[in-house]
Amino acid sequence: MDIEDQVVSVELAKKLKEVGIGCNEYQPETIWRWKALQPFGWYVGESILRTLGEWAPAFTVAELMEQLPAVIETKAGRYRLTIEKYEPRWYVSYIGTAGDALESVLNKKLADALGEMQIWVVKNGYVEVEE
Amino acid sequence: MSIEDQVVSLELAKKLKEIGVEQESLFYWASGSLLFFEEVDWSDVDTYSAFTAVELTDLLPTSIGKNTRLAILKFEDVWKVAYFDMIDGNIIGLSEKRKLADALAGLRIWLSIIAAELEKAGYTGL
Repeated sequence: MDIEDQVVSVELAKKLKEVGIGCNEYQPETIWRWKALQPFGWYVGESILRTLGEWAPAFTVAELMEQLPAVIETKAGRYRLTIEKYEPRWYVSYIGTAGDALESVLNKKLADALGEMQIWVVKNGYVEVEE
Repeated sequence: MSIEDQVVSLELAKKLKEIGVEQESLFYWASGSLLFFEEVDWSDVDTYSAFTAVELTDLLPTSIGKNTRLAILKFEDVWKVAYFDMIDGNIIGLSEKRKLADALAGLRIWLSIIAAELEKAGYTGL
C-alpha cells in the first residue's frame, strides 16, 4: 500500500486547507503534504521539505483520528466517534447512547471518510480552528 | 504527531511477525528501534513491519461471523477496537490501547489466537 493510499485524497486535502485545517505553511501539522509538481501533477512528499509550488496537507488516518473529538455534546445528548467497516465502505459516525447518529459519512477510503467528518466538525463549530 | 506514534509499537510488531503476518509495509522496525521508510534487507538484523493504522485495518476482516462488524471507538485516552454483534450488541473480541495502531494490532493478534475456537463455535470468515 503506497503512501498516497494512506492519506486523504488531494481534492479533500485542498478542502481541509480551505477550512483552516493543516494550513500552517511554516509549522507543518502533518508529516506528509500533497505537492504540485508541474507538469507531472500532485505527489506526496515530506512536509519538512518546503516546496515553492502549491501544496495541501496530506493527513494520515492516525492524524485525522487524533484530531477528531472523541465525544460531541449537544442538547440532545453525547455522541461518540465510531468507525465501522461495511465492505467495501467505511462509516465514520458520531453515535449516541441510543444508537442514533448525529452525523455519518461513508467512503471507500478511510482517510477520506475521516477527512469529510473533520470538515463537518469544523463547519459546525465543534472544533476551534486557528485563524 | 510523529511517525513512531502512527505505527505499531516494536513489541507488537514482533508478535505480528511471529503469528505469520506478511511483512509488507511502508515502515519497518530494524536494529531494535530504528524506523526505515523502505524495506531493509540486512541479513544480520531482524526487521519487523511497522504497520500503520490503515495497513492494520487491511489485516482485519470486516466481519468474523454473521451480523458482526469491525468497529473502532475513540475514548479520551484509549482506543477500543472490537467486533460487535449487530443483533444483541455483544462484543466479540476487544483490544484497548492508548495508540490506535497498537489497538488494531492487538485485535489482529487476538484473532489469530482464538481463530480455532471461533471456527468451532460456528463463526466463519477468518
